Amino acid sequence: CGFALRGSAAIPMQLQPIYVSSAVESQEFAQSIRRQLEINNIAVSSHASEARLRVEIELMKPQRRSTALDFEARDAEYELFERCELILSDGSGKMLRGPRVLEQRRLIVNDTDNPVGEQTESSIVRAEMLEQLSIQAVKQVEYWVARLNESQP
Amino acid sequence: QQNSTETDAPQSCNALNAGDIKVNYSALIPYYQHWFWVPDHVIKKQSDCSYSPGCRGSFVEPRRDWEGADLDPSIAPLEVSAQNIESLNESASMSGDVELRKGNLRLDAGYARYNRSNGQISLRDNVVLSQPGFILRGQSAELDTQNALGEMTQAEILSFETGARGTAGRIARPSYGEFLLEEASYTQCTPDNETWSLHAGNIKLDYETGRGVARDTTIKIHNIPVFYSPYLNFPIDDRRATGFLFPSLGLSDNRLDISLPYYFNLAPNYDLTLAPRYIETHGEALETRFRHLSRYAEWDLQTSYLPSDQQTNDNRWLVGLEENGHFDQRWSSSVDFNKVSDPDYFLDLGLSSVSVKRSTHLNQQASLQYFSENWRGLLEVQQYQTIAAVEDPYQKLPQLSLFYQSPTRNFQLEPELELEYSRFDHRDSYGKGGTKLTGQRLYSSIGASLPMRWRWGFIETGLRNRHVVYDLDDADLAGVDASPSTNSPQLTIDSGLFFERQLELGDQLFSQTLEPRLFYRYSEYQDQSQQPDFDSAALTFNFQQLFRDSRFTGHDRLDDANQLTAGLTSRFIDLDRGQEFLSVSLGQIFYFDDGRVQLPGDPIRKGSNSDVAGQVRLEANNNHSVSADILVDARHMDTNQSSISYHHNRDDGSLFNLGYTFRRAGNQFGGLDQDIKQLDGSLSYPINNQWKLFARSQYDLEEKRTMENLIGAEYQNCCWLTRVVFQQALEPDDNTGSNTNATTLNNAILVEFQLKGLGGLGTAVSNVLKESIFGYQTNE
Amino acid sequence: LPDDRSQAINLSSDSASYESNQGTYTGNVEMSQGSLKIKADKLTIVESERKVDTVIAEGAPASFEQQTNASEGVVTASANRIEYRIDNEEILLLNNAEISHQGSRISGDRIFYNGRKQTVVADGGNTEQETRVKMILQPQAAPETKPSTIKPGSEPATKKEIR
Repeated sequence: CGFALRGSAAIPMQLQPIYVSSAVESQEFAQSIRRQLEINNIAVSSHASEARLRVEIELMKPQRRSTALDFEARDAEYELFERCELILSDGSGKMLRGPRVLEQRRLIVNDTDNPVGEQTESSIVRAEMLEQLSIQAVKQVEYWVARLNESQP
Repeated sequence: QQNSTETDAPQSCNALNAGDIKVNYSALIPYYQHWFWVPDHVIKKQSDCSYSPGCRGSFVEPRRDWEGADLDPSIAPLEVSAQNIESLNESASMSGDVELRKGNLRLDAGYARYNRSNGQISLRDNVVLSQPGFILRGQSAELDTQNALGEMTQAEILSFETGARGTAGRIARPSYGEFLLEEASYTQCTPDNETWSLHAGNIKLDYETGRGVARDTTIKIHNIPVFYSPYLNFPIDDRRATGFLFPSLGLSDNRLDISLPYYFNLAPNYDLTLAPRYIETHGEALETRFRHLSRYAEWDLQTSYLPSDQQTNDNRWLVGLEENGHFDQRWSSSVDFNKVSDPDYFLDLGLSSVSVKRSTHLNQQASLQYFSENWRGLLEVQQYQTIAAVEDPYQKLPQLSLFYQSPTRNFQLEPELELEYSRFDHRDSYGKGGTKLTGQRLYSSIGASLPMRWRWGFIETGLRNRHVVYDLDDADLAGVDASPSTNSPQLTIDSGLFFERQLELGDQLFSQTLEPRLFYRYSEYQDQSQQPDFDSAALTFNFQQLFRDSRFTGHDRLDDANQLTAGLTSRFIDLDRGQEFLSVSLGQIFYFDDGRVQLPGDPIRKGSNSDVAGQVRLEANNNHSVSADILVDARHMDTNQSSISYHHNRDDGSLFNLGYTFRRAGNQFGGLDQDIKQLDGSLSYPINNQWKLFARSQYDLEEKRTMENLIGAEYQNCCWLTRVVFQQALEPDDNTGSNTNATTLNNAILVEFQLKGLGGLGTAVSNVLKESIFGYQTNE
Repeated sequence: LPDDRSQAINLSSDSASYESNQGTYTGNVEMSQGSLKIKADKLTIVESERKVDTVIAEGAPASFEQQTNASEGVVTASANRIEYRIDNEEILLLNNAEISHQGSRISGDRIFYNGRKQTVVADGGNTEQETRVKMILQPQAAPETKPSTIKPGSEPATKKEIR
């Protein structure tokens, strides 16, 4: 059925290392993106001048929305959102791709008798969403770069 | 949703100038002609520029086509034409509709006298000064032609781009973008609709900082004075969207609720709102909100005080403090503290925000976080104020946690560490004569994992030892062991493969991935029934839960497990746009042992396998998105949980959302007490660039009742905005005291009126819309 | 220059004629007296009591040049008809008139220049159709250091602002 094991390198060597920059509010998220880049053995540099590609990241305000009410008209289920804005630029900072908004969303049940348990669940789920968001961001950079060097031989 | 900023938006009509479109100014009515205001039926014939919301025309700057019109005045020659000129060594006087050009500075006047030695010029009778973006007109003026600075009497000013207009006894221009108006009036309304104007002793317009400051200010609506303030600071750049807040009207449970906010935008980074509020049958309250933004932190303090409520004749107040701070690369802090005078505060006085009325607890939390490459530390204090007839929760006074995660090293051990000390207190603890166990807890998890990663797959084995020990207060009173402890090692083996293939559908090139994943987890069983339950609850079961290393939140239950998860994810990537637009995931857990560690009162989990968990995320590029989660009991083929939501947003700002939610009760699905089955639909539809329609309906299929119906409309023109919303919402009704199905359906009508261009913040109506309509953002 | 008037006048032209107290010279006429220089197609010198009283130069256009004093620059002028009254140093320039004087260049239909008082008066002349007068002044010393060209409405300077 045409499937083959993924082989091609994530990002060609000549486009590495990558520099990840963010405002101070999103620095922790930027760190998890650097970690995901390293997991995909893409070199990360901490100096913008050295980098051939630059990923600019901004984590947007976390959102929460009530999606259902229980029989006492209390919140029964929440939907949590984590969103980030991603921009890919070249070494000199000229924007190549984006800005694109990536989103993760999860449903969690609200236990009205145990707000501490509910709050602990939402911090576990948000941490997991941020990790998934950084994986999604690195994939997005890979998709962009794959198209990049085709258009500029 | 996917935003469309990648295509470049059409040019804004505000930045039009006569170069872009041919304007026959003389064809316009005199008042429009005077202010260079071109209505949209003229513009529309020549340009499809986009207006800011509600505007029906634009100030079009006449062409600047004289030679050297783009030069800086200080380096350009002065060219004069007049009926006659007298040059007497150092000075030259000109008369007879004099026209002066010096680089981008253009001056017209009946008479002018120019002093060659210092470049000063004085002009008289209908003087006109125009530079890119501005035009000033007046009776007489004294200017320095080098930099076009000076002053003008009986003058008026127009900023083409922002549409701000001012008239004044005297306008001084100390620097390029700064104008001081004395005995002035100012408006951002357009000539076709002059509703509000601001009159002040003096106004400073500073286009470099984008702010205006007025002193001794009166705001008039159609010349009726409606507001006075000794000091008003407001934005004057093109953020037209922010409106001056005035007033907010509500009719809830046929109880009139009026608030008159006074907005003091004291500086670009802090502002204050004072809002006297009248609530029928309760009394008068004063609400305040102070926001402060500095390099390190954002503060937002809200208070409300209603002395001697007519119904309960005690004082009712509310305090809300929020802070987010980042001190440097390492340290950050956050505060979220809310407190009200009594549990029924929101039910009685919470006019607009339905979600606050539906909440059961108010969070009172402060935390300090340290973060570095591999270490993270968190010091946190947290408690709740209970505002409903529900359990009082435990308080963390404090909780200190430390995490270590080693740098990623393929084919090498990655150690990890988690330490957490917590001290749990409770309002009716044994110490205070109650029946709630309190005490201290120390949790630790020390382990390492060995990742083996290739492009085509990965195997990661992890071994960790989890340990928890307690020091409980008054254990003898409670008749329990004072320091129970549990130690439970855990082994995890996670593995997966990545398959890929290219697809051609029509002329579009896609890539599809197939990602099978196997996750084995073994955690040793330890009886923990003697341990208290401070912060452990059931994690909501979904596709992500299949791959988590525990089924409980918190650390009071170290779960036992001997299970294998099989999962499969397939992603579809549009290679042209470089975007993953669809991902479908399915998975199931196979249990080799029963789940014996449970929360107090829950049965042991028997079954040999979990429900099948599915998840779909679709984001088509023309702004359609679908998100679905589902749990199916494979053996009986019935659904235990399913939620599907569809969102559509278009470039014209219209939104359309549909949602269905079904979930069975029980801890294995997240801990609901009763099944829920609900439908939700909402839309925000711009009829044209002035009228907008809002609607929302949420229906409970299980209990056969309406949960919320909302109808609303918004009208705005260039100058002011009004929103009206009728909302029928189900709210808890604790007053009946009984814990049965006590809810009431509350009707409320909310009205909001704003003067655009004077800065302000969202109010009751826009908060309701943000809560009820998914994706609704006001541009305030 | 102030001592121009005591200098010798020399004059050249294609042809010349003289009657009673008026000398008329025609054909690329060039007249100079000290720093004063006049070029014209036709030049008429009117004398009274055997002293040159007025010089009338006509041309398409005729040109005039003189250095007012040592420190000042040269005054140059041109017009279809130039009337130069030597004693009170007045020059009347008629139609298509132009004068460059102390860094400014004034053009119009009728310009009246008084050398002694250094004044220039230009107006539309007495013809029915109003013609306007133009003046061009070159910028003086070097421009100030900080060119004030911040376009209004540009990004406000403060780093953070409440949205």
